[in-house]
Amino acid sequence: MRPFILQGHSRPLNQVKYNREGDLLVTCGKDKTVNLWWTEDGQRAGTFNGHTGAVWTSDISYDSTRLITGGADSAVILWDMNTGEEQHHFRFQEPCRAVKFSVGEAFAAVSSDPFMQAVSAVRILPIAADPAEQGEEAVQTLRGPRGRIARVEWTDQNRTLITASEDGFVRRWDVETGKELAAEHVHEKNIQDLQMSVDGTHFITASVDCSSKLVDTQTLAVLKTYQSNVPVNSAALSPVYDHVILGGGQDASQVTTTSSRAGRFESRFFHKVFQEEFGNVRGHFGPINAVSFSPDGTGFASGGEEGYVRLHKFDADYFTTKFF
Amino acid sequence: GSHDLAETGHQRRQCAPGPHPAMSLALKPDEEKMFEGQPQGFPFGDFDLEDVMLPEGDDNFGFPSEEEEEEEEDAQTESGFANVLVVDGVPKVSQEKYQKLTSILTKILSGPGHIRENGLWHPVDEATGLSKGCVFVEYETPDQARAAQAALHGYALDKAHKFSATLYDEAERLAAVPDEYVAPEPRDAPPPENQWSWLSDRRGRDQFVARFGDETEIYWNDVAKQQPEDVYKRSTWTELFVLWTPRGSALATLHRQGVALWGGDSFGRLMRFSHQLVQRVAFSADERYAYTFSEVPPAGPRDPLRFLLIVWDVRSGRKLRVFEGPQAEFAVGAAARPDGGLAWDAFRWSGGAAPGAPSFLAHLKKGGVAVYESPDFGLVDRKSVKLDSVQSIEWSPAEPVLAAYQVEEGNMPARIMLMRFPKKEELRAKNLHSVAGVQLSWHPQGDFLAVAVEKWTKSHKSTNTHFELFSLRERDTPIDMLELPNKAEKIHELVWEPRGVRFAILHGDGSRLSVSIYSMRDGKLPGARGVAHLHTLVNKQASSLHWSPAGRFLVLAGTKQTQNGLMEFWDTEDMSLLSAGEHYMATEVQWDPTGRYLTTVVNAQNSTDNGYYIWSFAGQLLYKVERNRFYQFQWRPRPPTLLLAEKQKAILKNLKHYSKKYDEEDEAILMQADTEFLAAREKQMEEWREWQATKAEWAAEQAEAKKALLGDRLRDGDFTVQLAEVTVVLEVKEEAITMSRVVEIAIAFFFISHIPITIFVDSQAVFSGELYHAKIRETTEWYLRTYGDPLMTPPYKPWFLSLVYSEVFLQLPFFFVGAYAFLARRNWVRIPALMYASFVTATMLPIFFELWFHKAPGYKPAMVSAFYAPYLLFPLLIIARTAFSAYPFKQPALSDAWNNKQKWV
Repeated sequence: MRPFILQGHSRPLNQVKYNREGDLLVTCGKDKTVNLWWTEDGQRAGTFNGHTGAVWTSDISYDSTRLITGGADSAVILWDMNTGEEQHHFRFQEPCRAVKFSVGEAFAAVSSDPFMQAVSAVRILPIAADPAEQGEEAVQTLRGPRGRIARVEWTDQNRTLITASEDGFVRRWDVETGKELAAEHVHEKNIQDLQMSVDGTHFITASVDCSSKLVDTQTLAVLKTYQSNVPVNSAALSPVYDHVILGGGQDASQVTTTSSRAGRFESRFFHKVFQEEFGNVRGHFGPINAVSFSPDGTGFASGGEEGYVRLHKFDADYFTTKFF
Repeated sequence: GSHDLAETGHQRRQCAPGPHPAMSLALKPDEEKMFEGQPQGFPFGDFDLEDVMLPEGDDNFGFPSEEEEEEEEDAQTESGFANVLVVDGVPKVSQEKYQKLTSILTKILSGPGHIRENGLWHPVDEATGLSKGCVFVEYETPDQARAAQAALHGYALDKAHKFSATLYDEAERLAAVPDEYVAPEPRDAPPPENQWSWLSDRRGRDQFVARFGDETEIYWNDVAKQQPEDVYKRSTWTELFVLWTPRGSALATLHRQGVALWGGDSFGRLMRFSHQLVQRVAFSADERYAYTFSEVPPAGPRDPLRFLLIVWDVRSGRKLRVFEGPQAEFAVGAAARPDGGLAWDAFRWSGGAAPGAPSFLAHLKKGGVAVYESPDFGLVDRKSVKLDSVQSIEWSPAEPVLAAYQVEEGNMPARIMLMRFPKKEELRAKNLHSVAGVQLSWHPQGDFLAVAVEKWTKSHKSTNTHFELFSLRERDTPIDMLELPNKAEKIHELVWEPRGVRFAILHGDGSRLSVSIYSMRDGKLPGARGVAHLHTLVNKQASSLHWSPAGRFLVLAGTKQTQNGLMEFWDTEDMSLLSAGEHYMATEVQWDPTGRYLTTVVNAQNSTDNGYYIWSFAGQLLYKVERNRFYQFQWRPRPPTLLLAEKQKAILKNLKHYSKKYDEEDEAILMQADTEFLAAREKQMEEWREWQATKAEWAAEQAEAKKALLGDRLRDGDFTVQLAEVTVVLEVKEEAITMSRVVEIAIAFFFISHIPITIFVDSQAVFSGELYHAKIRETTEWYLRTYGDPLMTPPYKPWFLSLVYSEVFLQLPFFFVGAYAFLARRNWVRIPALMYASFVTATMLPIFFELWFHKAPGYKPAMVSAFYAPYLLFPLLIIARTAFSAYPFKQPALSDAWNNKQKWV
């Protein structure tokens, strides 16, 4: 089916995220805005205005009532998803690149870029159920080496955090003690994205070293590698099939010298186990910065450098064709 | 020279380094940088210089080399002592005079070169207190040391003392010479590997080499398995590029030190040619000789650019001849680069020598061509061929025939000349006037030579091109002339059909070019010589033409940036386009040596999509390989066939018999590959499931914890998505199948029932009554009496008759087809069924009008209309069943994993 093309951003997309039920999609971009869309018809439900810099990341609460976003303006904002109003505005000294609610949303993990003298860090903020009682203080701060932390994920019953970093390392941290438990050099170049599987046993990474890897959450061992020939900016795991999507493309700085075809601005489908490509979806005319599977696995969304989000629903033959 | 040196060596036995006590004495732990690249902590505790000088090294892979001495020298140079000079014959003096002598020596020795700081060592014999009578001097560069050696050897300090200067490396070697001659042990050379074993591949596959990143890999082109199969691979095998020898027996690699040849099943080293900083290598057609070429950087700013070219005997590795000198002397005509330097291929090997026949090497010189003959590579007849203002030469690929082009000068016309060696017999020459340029193109078997002649027009502002075509296989080498319809057009390329008499010309201006194919056989007189135009293809996005090595098939390749790598595969027998494909941004096209497969390559000129595609001769894409930083692809050439002509003919005749056998084999291999492939996948899947099983418990813990953390906010459905999805899809499908099946059977039944009605009832309107059985006629009459059907009652209306005719002669055959197709669910019936149904629907319109408006006693309109109704309802049903999908019955099969892989990727 033809995808819905969502035109709500005037600058490159940074992240696209479905809510748990898959009826809503949150997109954030460099144009300082966060947009909310109905996935059923591709209509815009609203825009969250409040950031004064690029919005790098967002996370949606389990029941889709609250949204947390972080941006280059060093702000982390907690929103009411129903009304679009700010519930709380955290101000930090450093740009924020990753946010993630813990399971149950008692806490949020917020990463900060290395800035001035500060090294990169992840702050654990307690999130009050009533916004009026929301405090500013972090209960724990995990300080790491210099190097931006692109993604952070809670795992092991909220006891540990997984971070993906600019230096190509995936690290595991103890939330209680703030100590680094393990670090694994997974990629040659910076990691741009990390997405968990539904059961949390493994996750997928995306790196500008032109590959994407499937990693065991407990051991951080690399299980599978998906090789592309252009930088991979985002990778997603299908919740229902053994399929993965890699989104990326020739670096934006070189795009002017190549046609959109040579840039390989495609969502490429790989088989999770066989590591073989079995299809691709074209349409973007800039590198793809973000991909995400809908939670029921019946579609996916991709956000491009050119500012468009393409919202796809799979045709029937995606489900009936035996690809392998 | 070596005799001299040996003497000096013997004289100075006492000074010769060896396990050197004095040297280690002189070194204080904190200083003494003795030579460039001195290792940390040098000298090592009890080091043995032997170890330093002669590193564990290259044995010769069983080839006793003529140059072992030379190589040893090279090895020593690498030791870092090359800039050290040993001067002997110095007076032995006591302590008092030591300082004085040392300063005198410093003065003398620093004359020819700069001595390094603390680079002069004047050793003292501790036992006697006298100096030892020799000095070690370390210069800044090996060159200075060599210059000093030349200047100081034989220098007379006074009457009694004459210096003898020896390079340290040399002294070391001489000192190591034992006093007694010991005959070397004869070495058993291991039997050489068979260099041709790859030709006996049972499936007749070809090999190729691919170079990407730091890797050089050799593969079989395994088309049956649709992937390359590894033969041999090695990292950083070459420093520049690799090259197959012309008959494919070995692979040459280029290194800083020279060229190495590799071959046999194990790709062991067969031979090496020592040539520092070699840049190119070229083999004679019979692989017996080769030359290596390098530019020599100028020693000073005024020094001219020089070159060094060494001719080798490939089998023995012996140097046969060396050419060197300023490049400008050899850079004549086409051999000169735009910058005045020498094109590396200025020296040309003659083509395809017969067994035992000599090979020739030719190069241009001022006013002539120098041609050298194997095995000693002296000039043929001891003199070069005099050819005034010669501009370019080309050897025939098949025999020692040289084509030369002499440029027009003054009153002398331009001239094309063919000469056979070694007799220097002039086969044919042609004079031409107002020539702007000439391009020589030989037929691959040397049967023809095409010369594209670009001539100035009268105004001298533009040029016209025509062709002079030499036929070498005919008496007196006749010449035919060819002009294209538009003489002013730019000619891009002329390519001869291998093993044929045709050639293709790529011509035209702008981005869309034309391809014209001509034959050297007269169009009217069979077998006679003549130039006949066969075909012209216009408006092609092509920048190069590639004939199959077997002839007949021609590929038009668009390998320029803007042409997107478009490939057109033509069969020139009947000028049919077999296939057109695209390898996006392809930069190179190569046929395999047999003409069965074609490769297109995107090399590292492009930053992305590097790799190669393998196509069949007919343009079917067989497989793709992606490799980052892809540099080089080369098919392994095959030697000329040894089969006799009759045998080849016999094979061609029985081709059907052979092809059946090989098709079966291919099928079997494919089946096996398929099974293996599926098994490998199954195994991967199995491993994945096992891994998942080990994680099941942990995942369950996580899920429990999540439930606990979320409490009453938990919603269902998080973990059951997959099951729900599958059920829904299957249900819909089954329902659809049962409904439509009922309709299909009904339609089929309609067709079947229509057959007897048409034959026995309706056709009575057009055939005479006697044809029908009495019972049938009675039934019809009863029907007419009872219901009064106005249409079937004679006299028949003409329009109704026309409909009955169409029913009997057009529709009746279709009833059989339709009944079968709807029962067997055949998609092809869709269009005929729609045609039938819409036709019949339309004919029912006048019929119902007639039934409606007809007035007669005993006529029962309702009953008769009911009889006719099915012939409206069923056609409508057919339309409803078939109109809405291109595949009304079932999707084309998509189940085969192998096909799907091809389809999707």
